[in-house]
Amino acid sequence: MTIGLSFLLGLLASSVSYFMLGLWWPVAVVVGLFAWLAFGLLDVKMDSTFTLLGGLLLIFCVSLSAMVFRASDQLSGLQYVDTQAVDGTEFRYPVPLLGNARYGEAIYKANGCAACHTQQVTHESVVLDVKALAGEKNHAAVQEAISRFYKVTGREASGGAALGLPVGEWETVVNGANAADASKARNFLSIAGASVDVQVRFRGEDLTQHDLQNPRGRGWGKRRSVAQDYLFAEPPMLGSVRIGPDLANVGARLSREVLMRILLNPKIVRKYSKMPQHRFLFEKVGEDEKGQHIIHDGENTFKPTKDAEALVDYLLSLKSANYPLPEAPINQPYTSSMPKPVSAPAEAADAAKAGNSGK
Amino acid sequence: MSSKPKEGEAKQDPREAVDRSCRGPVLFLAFSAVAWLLVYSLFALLAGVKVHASGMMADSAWLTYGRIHPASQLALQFGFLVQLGLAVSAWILSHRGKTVLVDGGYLIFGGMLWNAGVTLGFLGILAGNASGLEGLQMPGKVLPLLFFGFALVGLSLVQTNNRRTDEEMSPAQWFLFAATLWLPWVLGGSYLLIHFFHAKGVVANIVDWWFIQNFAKVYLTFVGLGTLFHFLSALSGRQLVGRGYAQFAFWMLLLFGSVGGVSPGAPVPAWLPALSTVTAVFYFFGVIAAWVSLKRTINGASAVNDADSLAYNLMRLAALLFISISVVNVIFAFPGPGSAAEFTTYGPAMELLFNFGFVGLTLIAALYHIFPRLVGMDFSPKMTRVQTAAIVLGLFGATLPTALGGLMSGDAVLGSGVYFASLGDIFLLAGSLILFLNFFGAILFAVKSCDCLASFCGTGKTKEASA
Amino acid sequence: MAAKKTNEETETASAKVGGPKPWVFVLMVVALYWAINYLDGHGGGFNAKVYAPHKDATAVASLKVQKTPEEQAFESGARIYGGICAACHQPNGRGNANAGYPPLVNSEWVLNESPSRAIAIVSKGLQGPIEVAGQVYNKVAMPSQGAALSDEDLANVISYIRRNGDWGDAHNLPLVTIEQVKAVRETIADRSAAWTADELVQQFPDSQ
Repeated sequence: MTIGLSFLLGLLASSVSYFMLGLWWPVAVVVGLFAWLAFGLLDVKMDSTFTLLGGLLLIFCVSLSAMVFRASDQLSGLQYVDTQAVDGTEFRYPVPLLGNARYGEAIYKANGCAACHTQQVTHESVVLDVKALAGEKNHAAVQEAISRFYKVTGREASGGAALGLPVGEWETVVNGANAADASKARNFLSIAGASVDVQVRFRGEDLTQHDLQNPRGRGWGKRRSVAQDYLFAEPPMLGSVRIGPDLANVGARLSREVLMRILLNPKIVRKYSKMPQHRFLFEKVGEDEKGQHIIHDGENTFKPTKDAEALVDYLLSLKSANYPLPEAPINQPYTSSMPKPVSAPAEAADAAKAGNSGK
Repeated sequence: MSSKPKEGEAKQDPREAVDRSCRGPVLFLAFSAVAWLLVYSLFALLAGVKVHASGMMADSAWLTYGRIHPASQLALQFGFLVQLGLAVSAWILSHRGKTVLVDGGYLIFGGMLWNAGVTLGFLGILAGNASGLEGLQMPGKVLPLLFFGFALVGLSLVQTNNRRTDEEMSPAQWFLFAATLWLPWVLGGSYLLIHFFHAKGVVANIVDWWFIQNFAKVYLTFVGLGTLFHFLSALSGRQLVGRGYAQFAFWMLLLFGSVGGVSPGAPVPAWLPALSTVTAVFYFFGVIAAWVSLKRTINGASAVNDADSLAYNLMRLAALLFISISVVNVIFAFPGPGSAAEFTTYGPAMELLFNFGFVGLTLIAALYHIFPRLVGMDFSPKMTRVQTAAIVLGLFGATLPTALGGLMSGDAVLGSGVYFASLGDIFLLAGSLILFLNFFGAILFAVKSCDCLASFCGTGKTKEASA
Repeated sequence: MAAKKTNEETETASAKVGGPKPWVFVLMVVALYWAINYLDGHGGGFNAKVYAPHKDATAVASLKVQKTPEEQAFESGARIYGGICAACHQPNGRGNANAGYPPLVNSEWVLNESPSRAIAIVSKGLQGPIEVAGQVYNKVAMPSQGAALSDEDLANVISYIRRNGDWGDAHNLPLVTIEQVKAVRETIADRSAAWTADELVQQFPDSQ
């Protein structure tokens, strides 16, 4: 092969390594040099075992670096994050599994629940909501800016914009915009003097509550799952098929009693369930046995074993998609550092300034 | 069978010697593979039945769906596909290279280690020691056993390839050589990263996806393509056309098949699914190139020998499946269609169709050709036709309705194609049972009545039924 | 077809065995261009915190909270207060009666209609007894802070103490402008000593 053509191939190899596989640039340069030398000087012949071996090794290292090592660099160093629950309490996230729940995770793993259930909430799109806060003085200007925004973009006014912006309160004026529209709205509003906040919102069927408006909603979480959620999972049993519902947030959805019944015989709880019974997690007891978790099947009476208790403890600890994180926020009301403007003192101050007379 | 030896080159081992050296190792591996296929189909059927009749055998922890399913996957991938792939590789590398199989004993011993590993892994999963990572469900302690077993086999294969008569390697040899090295590397790498260095959190899943991608899109694909490149030209009597295409395909498939396999909704940073989409597109370039080379090689010809026509046609079906599934795969690699199919039963169905339909059928077809030349007598033709039909029907029945049902159900909960899968599983079980009986019966018959395997059992001359 | 080529000039095997035609490589380069763009758009800049699907991460970041000038002034005042005033008057504005630091919360000197007294105190300091919310403070003199604060800073910090809702509902007065600060500073420019309470009332008789 000519030097020129092999140089071009080396350049191609470098470009692929750097731009596409995103390898560190010295590595990409080395790959390109190697390709140039191999094609140009050594005239790569497939027939040599040595050539094949060298190529295989190189590609093996490239694939490990591009996919595994880089991901490991980014994600292996994850630690606790300080965040707030939706009700505002601060705590460190994620919470490691304690005691019985850790044993329950082993039960989950041993019985292969991940064969039918996933533990990852996904989203489908990202939209932006624009909120505005207008005081007395600029209220009219802000309202005018909002209607100008809607006219310019041709969107239909929604929510607060349609009903009129209240004075001194945060209100969503643009719902579900893309980046360009949100930027425009922000410009219009800040020129008019309003306080503006743009919030990121994840949208998807997993996240939408199931109701009349959203029949396809599944309500499996308030936000999508991210790597931080699985910090203490050994290993994260993400699952790849949803023959049954997603379990990332099942602790927030179902109670202990329901979970026990589902494990024993899912058809008690959901008539058309495909889930096999897990009677081996329970032991039969006499009919007159009393206790907190005794379940009557109609025919027999069952008591959960330690394994079942642990498994349910583990499932109840799965609440990850309820806690907001910087990379996966849950829509929260924005609080300004300034108090809401109140009409009376402002008017009096105006009067005082204008007249410059004492009381 | 196609290239002439260079001038001045030394001996080329006689065909008889090559066949004889292959006899023990290849038959051992092939028999184990067929046995594991039977195990797989039995447990796959059992798993499917549990979905319909949820109360059946619910008192046994060992037979719960969550344990049977990964165990059956292990049996299929590691028990059947890898072993039959090794058996066929041994045949092809020795016959292409016109050399006896070097250190066949290593092959048998390595095969025994491998079988032990798969058995321990299988039982370990049923006992509740699964690792929790799909694709690598076997308990971590089993992996070194698998690694060393395969390494021994690989040692024999590499030495065989080195001893080849022609310096020039054909595409079949490239692909099989690369496959033989690749699996232990990715298996060992995954084991080290996950179980030894304790990858934290989702990094373990990323290693797992890396392994699954490399196993299916590089290792199995290379085994399948290597087999096709050898047999399609050998059985049709035509010389390989488009060696440059094969070379291009080799490097493209290797480089871009080894990165990817991350689904769009995964809880990992966005660059991983984006990279998977991009590499899938470039992988497709390689697929097309391989297809072009194979197509031009065959060019519509049929098998030279009538006895080979079943094997030949089965391989052509497998090649057709390869290209069609690859087209579908590259479409679903994009996040739009990919998100629609994500988490549905489409994924496992297509994976089964690719692994079994392309690679499995290719290897079974190769077995049909190899077996008579090793044992000295053929399979019973009627049984062979029945088993082939059953396996193919079973495969399609188990995968296509499930895939379609998964796509249509969209919401991914309660995928509707699951019921048809069991029907297909029944056919699959029937087919694999017949194959097993066929194999076993032919060997027994050969040993007992026709003196054909006498040398395998120790002494005596052999009577060859040459092709 | 490719095998039938008999081009003897090119000695490499590629001519005889055929390989992808040049247009395939061109197509690959086009695909590489597409791939780079795709990764730009969907790859989130290889950032560990961006999850698919997403809009351009930087675009989202740049659209985050845009504070109005008033809010920025207020927050600047809060920072200045925390840096200079909170040491004595405490972050919660309640001062320390034992040490002799009067509170600012509900203080009539702070909440006067006109901010002039507050501006004057901060500019020049205060000495002698002063009655704040019914209590007399006479232990320490307040040093002048005027040298360290520009007009804007002074306006911001006075705005903050007059408008910090956390301190009470009465703290809801309009922001202090730079012009007001300039006017007051001009008036008292030639004064060098710290104020006493009586002098303040004399100088700025507005209100109370």
